[in-house]
Parts: sequence; structure tokens; C-alpha cells
Amino acid sequence: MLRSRVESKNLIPAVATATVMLIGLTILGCQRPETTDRKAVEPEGHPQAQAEAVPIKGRAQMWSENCMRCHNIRDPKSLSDTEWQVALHQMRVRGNLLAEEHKGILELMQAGN
Amino acid sequence: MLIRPKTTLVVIATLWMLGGGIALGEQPDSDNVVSREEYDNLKKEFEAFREQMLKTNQNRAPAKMDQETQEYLQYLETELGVVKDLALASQQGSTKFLVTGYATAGFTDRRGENSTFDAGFNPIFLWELNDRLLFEGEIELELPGDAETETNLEYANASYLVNDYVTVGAGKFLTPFGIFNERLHPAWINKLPDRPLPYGSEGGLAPVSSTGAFVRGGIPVGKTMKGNYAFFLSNGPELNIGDVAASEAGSLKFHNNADSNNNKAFGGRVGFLPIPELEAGYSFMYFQAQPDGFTNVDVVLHAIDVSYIRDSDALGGVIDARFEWVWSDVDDATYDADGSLGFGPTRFNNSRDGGYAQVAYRPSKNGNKVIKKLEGVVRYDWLNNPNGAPESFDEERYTCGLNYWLTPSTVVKAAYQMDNKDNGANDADAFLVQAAIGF
Ligand code: HEC
Repeated sequence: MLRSRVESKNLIPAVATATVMLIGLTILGCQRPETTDRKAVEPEGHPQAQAEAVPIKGRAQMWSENCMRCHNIRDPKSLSDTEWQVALHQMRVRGNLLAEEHKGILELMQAGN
Repeated sequence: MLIRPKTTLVVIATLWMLGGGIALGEQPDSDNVVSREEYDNLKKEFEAFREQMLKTNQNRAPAKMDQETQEYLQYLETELGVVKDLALASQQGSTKFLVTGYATAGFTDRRGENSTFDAGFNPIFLWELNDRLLFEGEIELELPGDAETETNLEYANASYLVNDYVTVGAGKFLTPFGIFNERLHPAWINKLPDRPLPYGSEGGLAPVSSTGAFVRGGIPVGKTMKGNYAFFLSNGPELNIGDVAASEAGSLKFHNNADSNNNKAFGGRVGFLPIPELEAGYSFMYFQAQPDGFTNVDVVLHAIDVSYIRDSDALGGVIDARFEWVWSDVDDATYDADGSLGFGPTRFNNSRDGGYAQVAYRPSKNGNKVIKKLEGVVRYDWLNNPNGAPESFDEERYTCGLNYWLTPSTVVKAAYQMDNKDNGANDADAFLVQAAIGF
């Protein structure tokens, strides 16, 4: 049986590292072009969506790699475009998805329903 | 086709000229001069002719429009209707709403207890206020054995996507400590009908949800690897001093919604995915747990988790393996110092640990319609409690289950559990059945 006693002072480096990391990420994230904006996402058939979308293969791979990590994959047809948008917003937060995964998978679900 | 004014003018001009030509042609060639009277007569004649022409044109144009244009107008009207409907359907204001959640129906036959049915309903409300702002709320409706329907606010929080790597939020949220509570506990996701011991709702070592604020996100590591993090600051759980039951002395009350002291809990988890199928995580949580008037008690919780999920042709389906180990280290303290509670004074080394290892396999690529929907699960879970604590015992269980998936989020689970407790506590083997729907 493993029993580790960790003194609270051991947490100080951990907290400091986490804080520095977060500040770094916030600054880095704010400088990078944002993929959070989903204006390019249009219903299937819209030429703009085809032109700006993540390639199909990449999107399908993102889907299979991410969406079965916690639960079974659901049929894209099970939700409407708007419902997918809301459900995937929750998954983005819960599953700590990358922004491009969020965008690519949303496009795939909306194209496949 | 519409008759354009320009065309009309050309026609008129031509007619005029022709008319003029004819008129002129009627004149004697000799003097080429037209009298005023002749001119006026001709003019009148021509005006009459022109009017007649215009009238004919006016009468003929609508007749032509009726045929072609009306068809076209009708087509436009239908198209416009479709477009209008589409626009209205996708408009729905600028906020988007989704009601989801899950429901369960279960049956438990545990040795030493009366067998019982149970049911639960957990509606979840998701509200996307804009591309960055999301509210999520879950209400848990349960049927406790001895009371009316119990309502719990499982979570209610708003989160904001600050940028690609950072999301912040506040409210009551599933605690990102370990993975079971945050990712696996909903009945349509959990592959067995009950919770593993370290995450048990009674006697567990970690909080299900916390009230406070969080920051989280995912980050790419190199080209193919990924990392993720979630940190939170929240109300801290409270130490059980044994005033309700001696057996609870030294354990933690995770359900307190208001903090018992001014020292907030700080915790979080960092995860790393070297390959998409594999994730390893480390979680920690630090807080002070003493209630008012009790000596300071520092608590440190740690956990590690490993998940491996692979959908492979070679395996003929999906293999889902999980492992978690949680350590709880609570400062030693003297319980029932004055003996008024009837079990003290007592002091013990208040360290606990518990974990589970679970493997599930579903032959989803099998040609048989029934076999491909079956899933076998085995889980070993354990919980070690402090030896010196009142009425304390260690426990380990082996659980085997068979699931039948009707849809990706509808499952019927049956499991048998072998229980093993030390210190003379009763082993409570159990037969568990649960049907769960995620919607
Ligand atoms: C980190 C684990 C995790 C990952 C990764 C994940 N999900 Fe989920 N998902 C959950 C949990 C947990 C729930 C249930 C939510 C609850 O009960 O609080 C859920 C619920 C859902 C639901 C039901 C509606 C809802 O929003 O609650 C859908 C649909 C869904 N997930 C789709 C997806 C898709 C598509 C992906 C891939 C992008 C994905 N999930 C990735 C954990 C995850």
C-alpha cells in the first residue's frame, strides 16, 4: 500500500508553475489567430464552407480520435445543426478539445445530419 | 417578354416615316409642298393609328406576361417560401438551447439488504448565449429509499472561451479531479451500474462537484501529441468529526455547498495524450477542512489516471481500459477529545487510498447483429481506510458485467459483484441491473 504524505508547502512550486503556464497560454492564445470564430461554418452545400473547411479526412479522423475517448460515438443525424453547435460547445469545454478539433468536428456533424 | 419603351419609339418612328413616305408618295411630285390642311389631316390619321398601335401593344403585353411571367412568379414565390422557412428555422434568436441528459431504471439485490428497484432522471440544460459563452445546468432527480423524490443541483455554471487554449468559468461544476466524476459517471457512459469505490457518493475520496471558478483548455504538444489542463478554486469539503456517526470520523463531507472556513480549495488536473488512444493524467486538490472550533486540518488529495481506448480491426471492436488511483491525506487530529460522542478521544493516521482498474471489450465489428451490440466489462476496485479509525475497514470488489447497447447512448447492463471487506465487516456481494438512456 502506497501512502504519500505531501506537505502543503510542496504545492507552492506546483501552483507557481500552473500560474506561469496559464499566463503564458493566455498571452500566446490572444496573439494567435483565432479559430474559435465559427463564422465560416455554414450548412452543407454553401460554397464558402467547402472552401474554408478543414479537409474531410482530417475532420473524420478528429471525430474518431476525440469523440470515443469518453463515450460511444453518436450518429450525426441524432441532432440538428444548432443542437450540434450547443452540444459540441459543451464537449469543447468538458473534453478540453483543441479549437480546430471543435471547428472541424462541428462541420462534419452539420454536414452529416 | 416585356415591350420596352425604346422598341416602341423605334416602331413609332418607323411607322411615322413609312406613314410620311406613303403620305408624301400621294402628293403630286411637282411641287413637293403639303398644305396645312393636308398636314393636319395626316397628323390626325397618324395619331389615331399610333393610339391604336399602343392599345394593341398594351393589350398584348399582359397576355404574354400571364403565360411566362406568372409561372415564373409562382416559382419564385415557392422558392421564397422555402428560403423564408429556412431562415426562420436557423434564426431562433441569437441564443441556442439544448435539453439533453439521461434517465435510468435499476434493480439491486445486495446480500444483507432487501432487493430494490430504483429510477433516476437527470435533465441537462445547455444554453449557448454566443460562440464563446455557454451555460450548462444539470438537475438530478433521485428516489431515495426512505423519502420523497430528492432534487440535487448537480452542476450549474457558465463558461467563456477566452481564446483557443483558455476557457474560464464559474458556478457549480463537476470537479476536474480524476476522470470518473467529470467524464464517466453519467449512467449511459459508465459501463457498470455503480460507481467505483474511490468515487462512491458515500465514503468516496474525491468531490463529485465543486462550487467556485475554473480555468481549463487543451494545447497541442508537437505535431501529434496533446495536453490538457483544468484548475479550480472552490469551497473546500468539510471534515467529519464523528458527531453524526463514529464510523465517519476523519472522513470528508464533499456535499457541503458553503465553505466551513475561509481557506478555499485549490486543485486541478493535467492530462497528456502521447497518442490519441492513450491519456494519462495527474490530479491534486488542497484545502483546509476543519469546521469552526476544530484544530486546523490540512488535506491533500492526489490522483493518477490512465485511459486507453482503441477501435481496431485486429481486435474486431473497441477496447476501453481505465485505471485510477486516488490518495487522500488528512492531517492527524484528535476526534471526540472530551469523550462526549462516546468513541474518543481517538487519534489515527488519517491516510486513505482507493482506485479501480476496468477493462471493457465490445466486438462491434462482428457480423452478428446481437454479438456486435454486446459488451463485456470487468472491474477491480479497492478502498483502504485508516486502520485506527473507529469502525473502519478496507474493501475490495470484483465486478463482472455484460452490457447490451440498443443505441450508442442506450444500454442495458447486468453485473455481478463480489465484495471483500476486512475487520469483520459484512461482505455484500450484489447483483445489479440498470437500463440507461442518454438523450
Ligand atoms: C472528456 C470526455 C468527453 C469527450 C472527449 C467527449 N465527450 Fe461527449 N460527453 C461527455 C460527457 C461526460 C457527457 C455527458 C454530459 C453530462 O452528463 O454532464 C457527454 C455528452 C455528449 C452528448 C450529449 C449532449 C450533451 O452535450 O450533453 C453528445 C451529443 C456528445 N457528448 C458528443 C460528443 C462528441 C461529438 C465528441 C467529440 C468531439 C465528444 N462528445 C467528446 C464526455 C466527453
